[in-house]
Amino acid sequence: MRRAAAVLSLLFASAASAADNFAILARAQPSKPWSEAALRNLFLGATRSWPGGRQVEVGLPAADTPEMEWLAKRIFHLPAREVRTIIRQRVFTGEMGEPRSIASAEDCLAFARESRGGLCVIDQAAAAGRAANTGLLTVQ
Amino acid sequence: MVARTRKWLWVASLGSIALALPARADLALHAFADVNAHLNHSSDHTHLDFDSNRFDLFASGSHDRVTLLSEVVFEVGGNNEFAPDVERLQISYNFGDYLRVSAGRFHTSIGYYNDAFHHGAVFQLPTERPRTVRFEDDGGLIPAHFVGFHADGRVPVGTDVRLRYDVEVANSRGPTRDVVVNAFDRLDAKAFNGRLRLEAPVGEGTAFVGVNAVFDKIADIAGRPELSERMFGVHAVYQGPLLSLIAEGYLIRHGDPSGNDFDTRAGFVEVGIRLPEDVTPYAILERIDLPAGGDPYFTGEGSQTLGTAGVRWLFAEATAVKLEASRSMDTGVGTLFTAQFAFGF
Repeated sequence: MRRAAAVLSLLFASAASAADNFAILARAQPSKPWSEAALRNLFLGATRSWPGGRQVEVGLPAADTPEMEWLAKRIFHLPAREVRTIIRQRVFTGEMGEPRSIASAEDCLAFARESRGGLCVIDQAAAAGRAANTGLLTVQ
Repeated sequence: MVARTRKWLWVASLGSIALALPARADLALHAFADVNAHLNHSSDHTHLDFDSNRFDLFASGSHDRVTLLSEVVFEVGGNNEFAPDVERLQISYNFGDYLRVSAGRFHTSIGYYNDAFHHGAVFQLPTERPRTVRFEDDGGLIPAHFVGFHADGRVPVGTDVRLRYDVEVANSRGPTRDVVVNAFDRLDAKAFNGRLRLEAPVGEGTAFVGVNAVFDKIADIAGRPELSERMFGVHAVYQGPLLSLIAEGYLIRHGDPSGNDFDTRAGFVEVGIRLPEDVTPYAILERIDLPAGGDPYFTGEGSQTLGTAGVRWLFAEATAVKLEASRSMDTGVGTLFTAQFAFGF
């Protein structure tokens, strides 16, 4: 029985979580913790509007960046190429628009500042320079 | 003439996206394709086929709350020639999480598979969809496409738990199962489809549990009267870091004017276990039960149990190699081995 429970728990969970050096920068949102499930829904287009009504615009870290690795491991518990493939699938289904590619912390700061409802992954240290109209969503 | 019209139709469908959106709109163009080798092996015969019979062009554009989407698939028909097929052409307006409305030709919100995977094989585990949910021209049992109106939204019902609804009103189902009524519906009655689905985080993944109801009429053809169609479905899905589980079941009832009902029951379970390096072995067990004496709409079909086992290796973003074996367990005649290279860019 115990063995069965251990196998089941393995199927529903992955091994380790990545360290929280990163967070999600979002336009016009208060800084506060969000659940992993809620953050996954934002990046998958399953949540299309922010509280307050602004449309969610996804900024996806470029492939092979620490930000992409963090997003994949910490939020999705999957390898980065699997997450990028799933997000492509969601675009293909029409559930979300084409994500903006974010190559650096500067890109993320500018995207969050200038978009209507953009979100992107940023190094928490770089996030100190964020604009007043953006908030930092940390993982609950 | 028909082929020429279809060629212009796909050009128009892609062009419409470019023309209809304002200059500031975000446009995206993607392509998906797969190449396959099929080895059909039985006790007295072995036959090998190669195919590269699908090239999928996907274009989408959005401006503010409006989204346009087009999917054109170039497919090889029975004559061994490629022909374009407009699979999706839809416009949507997003009011918010609680309501999005769409119109055009779209994949029906029936079960989970049909509007989760579409035509790009790279995203699904098996090389082909389970038989029950295949597209109209591949012998599927559900209406995979509707032309009409669609509305969907999500309502929170608890912490991270949401109820998703989908409602569709569309042209009636084609008079034969390989036809989609793109225009000129002969019937006054329209098809109605409703889906309710609960979405909840479970562990590090998401679980979906939903139900469907379709009410429809099917126009008569020579030798067969008009039919009513009622379809009820349930689906349960888990998508997590290590486990992918999709189960769908359907009761499809066709009624003729004499009061005779013909019930088909069909369903499948697909299980995939994600291993390191993005290698996912999977298995599918599927059962299709047709009424004794057959169904007037699913002609030429027999009841069957199908078993499939395979492995997918996602070795780069949206690029996969799959090896698969499938077999009808009732007849025991032959095993189909398939190797597939599927990709998108």
